[in-house]
Amino acid sequence: MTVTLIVLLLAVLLLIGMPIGFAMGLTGIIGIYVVGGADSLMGIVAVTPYRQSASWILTAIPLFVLMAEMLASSRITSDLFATMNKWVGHLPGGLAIAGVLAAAGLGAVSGSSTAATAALSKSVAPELLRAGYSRGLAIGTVASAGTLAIMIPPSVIMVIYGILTETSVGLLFVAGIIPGLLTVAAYATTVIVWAKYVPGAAPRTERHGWGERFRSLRLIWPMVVLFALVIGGLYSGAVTVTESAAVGAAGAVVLAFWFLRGAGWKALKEALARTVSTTAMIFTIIIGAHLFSYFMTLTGTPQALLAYVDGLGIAPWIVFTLMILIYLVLGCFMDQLAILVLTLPIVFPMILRFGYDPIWFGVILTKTVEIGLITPPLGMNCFVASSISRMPVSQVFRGVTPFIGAEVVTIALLMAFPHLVLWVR
Amino acid sequence: MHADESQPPAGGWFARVENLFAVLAQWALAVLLALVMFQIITRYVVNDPFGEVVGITETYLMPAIVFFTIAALQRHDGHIRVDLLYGRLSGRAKNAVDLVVVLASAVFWAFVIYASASETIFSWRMDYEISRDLPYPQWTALIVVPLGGGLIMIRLLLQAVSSARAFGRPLPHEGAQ
Repeated sequence: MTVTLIVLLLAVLLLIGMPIGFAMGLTGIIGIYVVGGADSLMGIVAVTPYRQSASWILTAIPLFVLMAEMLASSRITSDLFATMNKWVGHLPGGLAIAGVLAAAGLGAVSGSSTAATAALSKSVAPELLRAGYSRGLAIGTVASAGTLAIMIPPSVIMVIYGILTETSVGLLFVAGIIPGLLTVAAYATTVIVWAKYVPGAAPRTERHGWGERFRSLRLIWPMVVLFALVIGGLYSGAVTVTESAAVGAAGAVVLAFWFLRGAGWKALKEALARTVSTTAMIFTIIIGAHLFSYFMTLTGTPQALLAYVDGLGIAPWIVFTLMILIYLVLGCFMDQLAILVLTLPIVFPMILRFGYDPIWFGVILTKTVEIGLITPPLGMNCFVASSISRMPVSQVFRGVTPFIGAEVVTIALLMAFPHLVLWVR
Repeated sequence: MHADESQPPAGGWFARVENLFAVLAQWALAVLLALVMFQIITRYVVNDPFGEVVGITETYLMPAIVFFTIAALQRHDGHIRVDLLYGRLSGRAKNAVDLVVVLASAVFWAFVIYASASETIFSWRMDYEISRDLPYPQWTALIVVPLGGGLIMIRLLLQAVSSARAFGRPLPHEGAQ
């Protein structure tokens, strides 16, 4: 009864627009008081906000965000796009495919989807429109491709999943590479089909010679080195997650200063400001979620739910598929981080109980919440793309629709063939 | 949080205080990056890592980044929320919901401030140290939470006043009658 009332109160507070972290924190506090009394409440609230922020491993979050912000403010996206255009521009929808590949490259050195979408909307979308691409295809490609940053390592969402579930962040990063490339292939296929079957949506552009293609690679070597340092260092065990994030952030600062010359300091100042804001926003949710989790743990709800599902006698794969469907629906209405912190305390024990691999589930979950970035009515990437490109958000949502289909196919593949993820084991 | 734009900004002087703390948080992040890089370099180049980096980072820098920014973030309406119903509200209903939301948020932060301030004072009285590696008074680290909490509390109260005023003001068509 208490759990139901508190969850209802949380739902009401969320619906009237109370910040998610505050709402979870307040309902968690009320719940702890009701179940555990004033002493438990004081003991928990006195230390939780400080302890949740005073974490060495969570230091990776601001560092990866800083890395993304610095790279997004440099001309790295334009360089990636120019290079990819030389290689694939002549294909049907080639410029849009170049945009997808540029997004994948950006994702490989950036863990923030919003920063990646903002950078792509500024540099790639205008190029596509100038080349005569339809507005739907141009903006749909940009908004969807921005999600690649969340799947292709490094990924802030994977860091948070790894920390919340005590799963290896390094393994999660490496496991995300093939699903990320699979998504790139699915997006590129979507663009080709769109270009072939919608006349005039994507005018052909000239084919570039092999000499020109190889010369263009000079533009992107800094990104390749940065990716190798961050992911290679982490996978080899030479550096920890936090250290690899610091190497990435420091490398991004150096690159931005190199690309931007005199404007480097201004870019650094702005990136620092955006990074501390994002960090405070993420940690407020983490603190609220922990308070709420304490309440749930005190009531024994996760265990009761496990016992209930066990008692139903339904096959685990059916429960798992239902969970993914629920996540897809939640993704339409809630922030990705909030979904993770709200549901993992209940869902993760169930995943372990069913014998599913936490790395595999982490990648599927990341992929699922990634889709929420482009689904209506609250797809964050669509709003970012709309505000920067000054196109109506309804047009952006129409543009991303075929890409959502490609995402669902990719998830189905990852569920059907777990080895696409679990080769890292 | 969602005060009427036509009103003069509530607590202009306080915005400067929030900005000052936000800049401190940015400096903390820059120092954090420099320290972690320094640690990596000392470990690989001179094979003698600067061990205090972990302690300083998690004890002082990370909490400062978080708690010195939350008030400024609140002013810019930067805390994530579900906009599904709120986005459809307008006029008095929106002002009323704004008031409820900021007051409920203030209740949450009041709990956090009270509990964390009690913990800080207790640590000060007991003369606790952070750790053997960092033999500094523990309260110097813990105080960040009630300090940052106090900042956001003031911001929330200013926003509550602003929302209450907006709620009490006659709507344009009422004023014309």
